[in-house]
Amino acid sequence: MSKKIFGLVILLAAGITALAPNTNAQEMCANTAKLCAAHIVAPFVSDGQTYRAFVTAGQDAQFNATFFAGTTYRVAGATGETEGNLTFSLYSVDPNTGQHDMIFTNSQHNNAPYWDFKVNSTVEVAITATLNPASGKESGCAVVLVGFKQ
Amino acid sequence: MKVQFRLAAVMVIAFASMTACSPNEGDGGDSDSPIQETIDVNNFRVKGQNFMMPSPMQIANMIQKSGSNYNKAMLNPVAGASKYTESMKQALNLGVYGADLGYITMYSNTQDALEYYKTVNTLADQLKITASFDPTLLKRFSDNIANKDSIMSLVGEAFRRSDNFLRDSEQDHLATLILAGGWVESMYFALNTYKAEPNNQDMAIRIGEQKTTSAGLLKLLVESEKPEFAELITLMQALDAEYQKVEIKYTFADPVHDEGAHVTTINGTTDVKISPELLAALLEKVTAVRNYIVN
Repeated sequence: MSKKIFGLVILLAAGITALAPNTNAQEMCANTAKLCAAHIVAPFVSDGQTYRAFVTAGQDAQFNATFFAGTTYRVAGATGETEGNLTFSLYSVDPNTGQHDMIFTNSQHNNAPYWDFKVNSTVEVAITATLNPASGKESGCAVVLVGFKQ
Repeated sequence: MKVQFRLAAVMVIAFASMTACSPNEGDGGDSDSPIQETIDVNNFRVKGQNFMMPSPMQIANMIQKSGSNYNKAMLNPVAGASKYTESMKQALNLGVYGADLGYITMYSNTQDALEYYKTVNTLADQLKITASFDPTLLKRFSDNIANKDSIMSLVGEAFRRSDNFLRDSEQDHLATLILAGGWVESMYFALNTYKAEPNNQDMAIRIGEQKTTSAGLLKLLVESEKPEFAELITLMQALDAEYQKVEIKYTFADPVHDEGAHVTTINGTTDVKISPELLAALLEKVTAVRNYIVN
């Protein structure tokens, strides 16, 4: 019985302590999303979604998408409240074998906060996001936004 | 090491606490346990999805570019919007009307655009997500109604804010339903357009290229773990079973980077094989899902 009460107390404590950082996490993500959204402007149109993940140093988050022929996509990525802290890379993915081939990484382009991709033939892609080691950050909310123009 | 996008720290901690108190469990922890790792790594709850749905406006643009005429009969009539009284149908049809709005915008039909925008706004209000809309959006929409590019940007941004709002408020399942409604409506347009123009091979290929999206959307719905999604999932499974018959072959080629313009050209090529019979089967299945959503 006492173990059950102890479990309940732990459960409540966990719930209470989790609420505060959760609010902080949402605020953190919301501020980062605003930073990214500044790059998804006309003539680019938002795809209507926000992609985000909590990452720590050395980890990466992956988002999968289809980029359609005849379209130029803009990918914007950030973590925290300043640009350049997120390394994002784009790979083509063979739908039959799952093989990934690197197309782009912003780490080779001055950690650009956004980049455009002109697509001549439809391609499955994976976008990975990780903390830029040079940022010194231990963790953060990684946000990726995608816009398109045709 | 990949981060799981759907994190539920509270539940994980609760689960860990309860198992720690279980008399059936030993004291020793498993250092390889993903639960332990999640507690250490993610003392936050950050929700999201790791699969990107194509915007309905992209598909509408593809249809308009194919030279197909505006066909209002394909749209879900706004007069029926009041019959959606449950949040599930409201969210699905918010996606449907959003796709309709995208289609209308491509054809610059200003009168219909305003009517559908108001319906989108009404459903968003019923779902209590109008807070995510810019209060000045309706005025900006009206002011720019003749400017297709501006309207596309406004609609895209309004839906992105709604998506963000729903994920912040831990209503991911509603965000998924909006995406599902939008995609199903878009495919309903595309497949009906192909039916009317069976020589439009470009349209057939564009439809076939949605194979991965079909599978990804089905996965999102299943992972929502909502019992009320059961009928929708069954219908989507039937659609996806047909979609998996599409043959796609991809060949990688080196990309070209333009540093100055911040542009990379992706040069890989994809070959899609889809038969007229398969397209007819897809239309039948998409129509079944769409009927479930709008009726």
